Amino acid sequence: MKEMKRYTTIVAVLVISIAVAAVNAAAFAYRWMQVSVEVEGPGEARGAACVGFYSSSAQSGIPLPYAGTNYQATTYGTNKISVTPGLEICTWSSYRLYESITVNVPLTVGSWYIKDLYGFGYNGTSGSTKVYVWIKVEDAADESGIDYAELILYDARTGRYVGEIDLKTTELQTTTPISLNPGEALQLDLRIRASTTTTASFKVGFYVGYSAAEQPR
Amino acid sequence: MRGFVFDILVMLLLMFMFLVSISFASVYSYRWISGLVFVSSPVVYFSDPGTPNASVSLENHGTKALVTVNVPSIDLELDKRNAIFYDTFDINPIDQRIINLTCNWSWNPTAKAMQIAANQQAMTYGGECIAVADIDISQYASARRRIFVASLVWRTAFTGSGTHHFDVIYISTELSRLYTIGFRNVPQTGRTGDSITSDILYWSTTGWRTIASRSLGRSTTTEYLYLSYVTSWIDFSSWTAYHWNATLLNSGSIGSGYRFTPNYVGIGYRTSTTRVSGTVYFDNLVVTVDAYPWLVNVTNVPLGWRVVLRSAAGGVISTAIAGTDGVASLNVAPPKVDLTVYPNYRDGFIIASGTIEVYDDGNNLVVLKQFDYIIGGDVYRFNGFRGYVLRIDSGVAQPFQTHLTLTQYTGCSDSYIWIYLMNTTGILSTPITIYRGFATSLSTSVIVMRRGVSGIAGYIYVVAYVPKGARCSLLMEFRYSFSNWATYGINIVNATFVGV
Repeated sequence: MKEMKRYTTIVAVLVISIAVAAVNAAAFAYRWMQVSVEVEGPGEARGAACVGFYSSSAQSGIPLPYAGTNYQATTYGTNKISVTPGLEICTWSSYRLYESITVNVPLTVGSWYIKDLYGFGYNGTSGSTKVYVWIKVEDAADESGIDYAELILYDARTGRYVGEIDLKTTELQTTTPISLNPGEALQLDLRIRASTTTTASFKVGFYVGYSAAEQPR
Repeated sequence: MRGFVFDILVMLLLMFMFLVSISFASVYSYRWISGLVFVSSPVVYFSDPGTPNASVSLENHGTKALVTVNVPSIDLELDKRNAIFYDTFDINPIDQRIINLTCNWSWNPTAKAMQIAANQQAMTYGGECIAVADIDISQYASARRRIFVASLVWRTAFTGSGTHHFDVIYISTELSRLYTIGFRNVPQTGRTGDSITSDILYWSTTGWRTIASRSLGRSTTTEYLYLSYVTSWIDFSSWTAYHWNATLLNSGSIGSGYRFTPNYVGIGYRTSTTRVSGTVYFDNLVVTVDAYPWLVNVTNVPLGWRVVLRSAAGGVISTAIAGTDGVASLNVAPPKVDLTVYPNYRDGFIIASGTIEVYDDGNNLVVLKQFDYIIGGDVYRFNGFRGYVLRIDSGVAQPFQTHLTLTQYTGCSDSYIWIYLMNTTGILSTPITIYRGFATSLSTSVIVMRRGVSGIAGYIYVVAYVPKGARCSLLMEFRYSFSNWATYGINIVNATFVGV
């Protein structure tokens, strides 16, 4: 009877061990997400998708407020600003809005102001609604020798001051978003002061959506 | 059944809100700017122009300037006295400062003037009664300078007839030669004017020679008991003699045979007859070199400001408005004064205890100062600062537009400051203006600068009037653009003007 009891204990331990091993090694709960992304061409872009960068000087007659007139301006001597547009993300007729711009600015020690460097506008179509633009500095111009660097926004239609973005701080810069109705645009100015010779870079993200309440991450 | 329908509606609403939040809240189209900034050494920067009273310190490669200007505080100072002799004859000058050469000149303590009886004739010098200032003027004549002599003159009524000369004289006591310049008067009955002639004559030891003579017709200029004056000068460079009274009356070239170098100047009287009674008075004798004795100039006065000269009694003697040269010229020749009404009027060529006042163009009194004697030919300076406080250099050949903007100012009470930009061709901008302590113009106009000799493109030029002890600080932005203001650089100017 005593031996019987010992065998029973061994068998029970083996059964529990097998059961535990089975649970930890081989059992999965399976879930899935199926995503279908349909990418239309820029000619089909509507609403927030048709908000981007442009220059009235580079695209004569573009039906958006006059902006981006100084994208090739001389800063000093014979040195000029250069602006290289990125991907075309919204096109209509012979006009286009760009996803991004890459800006090279030659300056000298001291303070500088660059007026209406480029435009950022919203080409509305039938049924287009107001959009909201959140601006976030993703790479700050925090190099030594840069005393301040600011992106200043003006309403391209009215000339009204809209706000300014501190390019030396990496964070979301707009606590409330900038609203753009179809056909409206911003003029982008730059103000920089350098106390020594240096090279500085920055990257600013523009998040365009339909909600004034929810911030982008 | 109704409850079921309500539940369905609530569910549909919740689903709709959920869908809306899904589609509007979380989707953004993403755009971006990538920027690259290349910062080089400045091409437009400040330098110290080395102006006295202005100290400059530079920071950030010359893109920021700290300027301190010690401004001589607002005041009036005698800058130059061009009179080499002056005397109000308030104290008997005879044998002290005046030498009687011919006739019996005396001093009248009541009139406080030199006097001579109208019937006196000298035995020498062609009959000219002469009293001279005890100062040798030969050095000025030898140096070919202009020697001016001015004196008040008046007379009592004459009884009898004759011709009378009221002169100032230039004499060589060594050569016994003489020039007389003045009025030849033939009295007429009453006080309605005499027949007068302007005469410039030369006494050659053997006789009178006329250098220039001009009839002035009937005039009350030397009528009895009218205060008048004789003013003359001889230019010993061109050898030309002049007679002036409110305007140039007469002038003549001194011929080579008539030339001599005088050693004294003074006053003269000559009559054609001894059968006349009356008295001739001379007062306020002034001798100047290269300066009109009927003018007192106040320099460094802003354009359009008013300068007023007052007598000791407070009456206005003269008023002048400063021109673009910053000079206000006060006329100190006396008006024709009726001495039967104002018997003691003597304010001409010398203003004893006179006051000079300077008013801004808003008619605010800026400074007032009394002087013991204000003498014709004097030059007074309205204290302030004028000069370059910063030099603007350029390291590139391209021209650029510039302007200066005032962004902040403090402590400028009662100060007047004008700040200009100037390029190397002399073009001046309109100024930033601090007027009685307040900024009335915040920006200059735009001017174009271009690198010139030694890299100099222009200057910041300042005119400042600051009260003693005041400390006026200005923060300004010097803006320059190579692209018609599409882009512009900003250099900083921090300027302090201290009244010392």
